[in-house]
Amino acid sequence: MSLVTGTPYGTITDQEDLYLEGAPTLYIQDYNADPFNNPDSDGFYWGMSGTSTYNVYEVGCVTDVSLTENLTMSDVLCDNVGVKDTVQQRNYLEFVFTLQSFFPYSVLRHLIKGGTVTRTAPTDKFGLGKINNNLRYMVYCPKVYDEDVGDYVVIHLHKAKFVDAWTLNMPFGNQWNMTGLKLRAFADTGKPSDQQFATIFRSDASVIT
Amino acid sequence: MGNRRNIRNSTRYTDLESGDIDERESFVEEQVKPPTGVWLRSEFPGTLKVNGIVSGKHYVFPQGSTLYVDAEDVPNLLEKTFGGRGCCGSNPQARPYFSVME
Repeated sequence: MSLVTGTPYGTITDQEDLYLEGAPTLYIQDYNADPFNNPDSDGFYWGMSGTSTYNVYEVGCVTDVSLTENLTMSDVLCDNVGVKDTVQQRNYLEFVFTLQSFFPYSVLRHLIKGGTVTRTAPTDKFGLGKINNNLRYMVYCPKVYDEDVGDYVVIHLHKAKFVDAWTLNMPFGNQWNMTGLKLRAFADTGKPSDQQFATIFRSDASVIT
Repeated sequence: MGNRRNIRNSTRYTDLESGDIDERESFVEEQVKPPTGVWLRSEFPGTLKVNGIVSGKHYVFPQGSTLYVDAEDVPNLLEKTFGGRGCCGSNPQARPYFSVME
């Protein structure tokens, strides 16, 4: 029903009465692997499929998850009228999260920029040394928002790297947690220009028909 | 001719009626040796070092690599699994360390 005042004329697309809650699951895989849809029938690159060479790793028990973007923004200032425009360039997207699950080391070592894990039963070992700046990852973040019918959204980042310094907190009476983990997604110039940083996906059979 | 084919490993046949000599290929049965090993691929995301319980050999599998393993060690190695203690429920099953390469 239209409001008495304020409703525009013409075609209106309104937003849905649907709200997402909680963090998505984070999966990472070596950037050298091909996305599962490479591309799909609509030309979008997304999804993962683990192999022996390119395992898919689930980042376990995360909290305080957020996704932000970094832009370079420049105002076009005309001295006679003020700001006439703002020019923007997207620099990167960035997941920030806190980690509470540290095992196995074969996953953790990617997050904290460690070396290859060597397993000799019953031990796992890896080193922290010089950072390998050539390691990049695809990031696949699905979030099911209706488990009864399987509706979900996905954020797929094409070319990301763990950046910045982490902090391992060891509080008395609480679980260990690691803060400062940042997964920064750069432009993947091998992808179409309109999806160089990420592909955003939604599947909802009741709404998208 | 039918009888001749039943004779194995013969290279020359003589037709008793005509005296003709029939040169033929030699049919040599190659003895197929039982397999002494199996190619196993490591599914572990890292370097994996394991001992063959029967042979006593020490195997080192870099990530994603394939090694020729003594057949007698294979059953034990294929029983080994890792994972299965996931915190967040997406992949709760343990996975085998190795897969057999055909």
